[in-house]
Amino acid sequence: MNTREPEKNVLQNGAEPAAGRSTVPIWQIIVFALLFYWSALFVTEMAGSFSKDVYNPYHSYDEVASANPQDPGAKLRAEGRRIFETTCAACHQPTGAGKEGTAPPLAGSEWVLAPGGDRIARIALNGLAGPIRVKGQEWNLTMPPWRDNFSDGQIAAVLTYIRSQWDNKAGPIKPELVKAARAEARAGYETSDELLKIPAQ
Amino acid sequence: MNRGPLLFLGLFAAMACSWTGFVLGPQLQLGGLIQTNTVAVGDALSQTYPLAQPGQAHAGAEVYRANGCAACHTQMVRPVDLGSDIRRGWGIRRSLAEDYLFQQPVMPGSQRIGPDLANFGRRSDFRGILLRLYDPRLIMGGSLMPPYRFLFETRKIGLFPSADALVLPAKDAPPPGREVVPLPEARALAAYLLSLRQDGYLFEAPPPMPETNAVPAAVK
Repeated sequence: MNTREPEKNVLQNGAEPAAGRSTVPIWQIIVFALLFYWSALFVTEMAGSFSKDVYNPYHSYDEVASANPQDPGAKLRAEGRRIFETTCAACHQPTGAGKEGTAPPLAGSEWVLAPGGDRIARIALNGLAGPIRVKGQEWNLTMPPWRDNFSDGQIAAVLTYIRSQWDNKAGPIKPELVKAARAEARAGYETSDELLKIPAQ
Repeated sequence: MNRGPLLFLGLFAAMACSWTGFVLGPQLQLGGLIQTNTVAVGDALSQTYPLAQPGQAHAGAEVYRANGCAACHTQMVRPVDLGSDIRRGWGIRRSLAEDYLFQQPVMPGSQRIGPDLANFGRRSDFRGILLRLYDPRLIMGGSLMPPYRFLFETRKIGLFPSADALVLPAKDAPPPGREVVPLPEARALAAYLLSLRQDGYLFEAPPPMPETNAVPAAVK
C-alpha cells in the first residue's frame, strides 16, 4: 500500500493559504523594462506632449500652429469686416455704394481713398455733420461719432477694410494714426470745411 | 489571505491608475471645452463652432439612441493617414473633441456596418432621409439597413394629399386612396441627421495648405 505524502500547497487541516516569496526571473524584468521603454517612446511620439490642441497627424503644438494659416493680415481683415458688417453696413450698405438719403458711398469715394487717411479717421471718430461733396455729389446728412464704441485698433481695422474692399485700393491705416487723430480731436462733429484744411498728404 | 491589506492596496492602485488616465486626465484637459471660432479660410469670416442642436434635432437624438442606430453607424471621421474616410467624402477633416460639445450622450458608435454619419447633414436632404428610413433600398440597392416603417403612418388621404407624404415607387406604394406620412419621430430623427455636420476648420485641424516646397517653420 502506498501511503501518499501530503502534497505541498494543499490545504491541511483547513489552514489559510499563505503567499510565500520567490525571485522574479531576470528575463521577465528585462522584458518588462523593454516594454516600458517602448511604451514610453510610443506615448511621447503619439500623444503630442499631451496637449489637447494636438491631434494626429501633428506631433507638437508648434507643428499645429505652423499648419494654420499664417497671414497676419487675415485676422485684421476679418475684424474689420465684422465691424463693417455689423455697424457701418446698415447705412453705407454692404456693397459700400451708400444710399440716397442715408449715407454717401465708400466705394470709390475720394475721402476714403485719400493717401493719408487722416480725414476718414476723424470722420469715423467724431462723426460728420453738414454738407459734404462725395464723388461729385452733394450730401447733407449726419454721421454719428464712434469714438466711444471702438478702440484705435478696431477703427484702424475697419478703415483698412473699406480702403481695400470693393474696387478700393488704398494702403492700410495704422492704429497710431487713429490714436493721434483721437488725441487732437475736439468736441462735436467734424464738418467738410474743417476736414479740408487737413492736408490730404 | 494573510496579505489582505496589501491585496486591497494593489487593487486600489490599479483602479486609481486607470481612473486617473481614463477619467481624470481627459476631464482636466477637455472638461473646460467651450464653443470656439473656426479658422477663416481666405477672406471668409470665422464662425462660431459648434452650434447648439436645434430643438427638433435634440428630440431626434433620442430617437437615434432608442433605435440603436449607433450599433451600425459611427460618427467619427478618422484622419487622412488612418483610414479612407476623408477620401470617401465622409468629412473634410478629422473629428475633434469640439464636434461633440452639444451631444448628450455622445454616440460615436464602434462598428461601421453602415456608413459614417458624422457629416450626414452635409450630404443629405430631408426627403431623402425619410425615404431611406422607410425603405433603405429605394436609395441604395443592396443596403443592409432594416426599414424603419414603424416611424411612418399609412393613412387615408383626406380632402387633399399631405404635403409631406412620401413619393414612393409602385412596389412600395400604399393602396389607392392612402398615403404614407412620417410620424413626429421620423421628422425629429431626420432633423437630427441633418444637424450632423463637422464642417468648421478649427485650430487643431486647420484647412489643408496649398502644396509648397518651403520647409515648415517647425522643422527648421
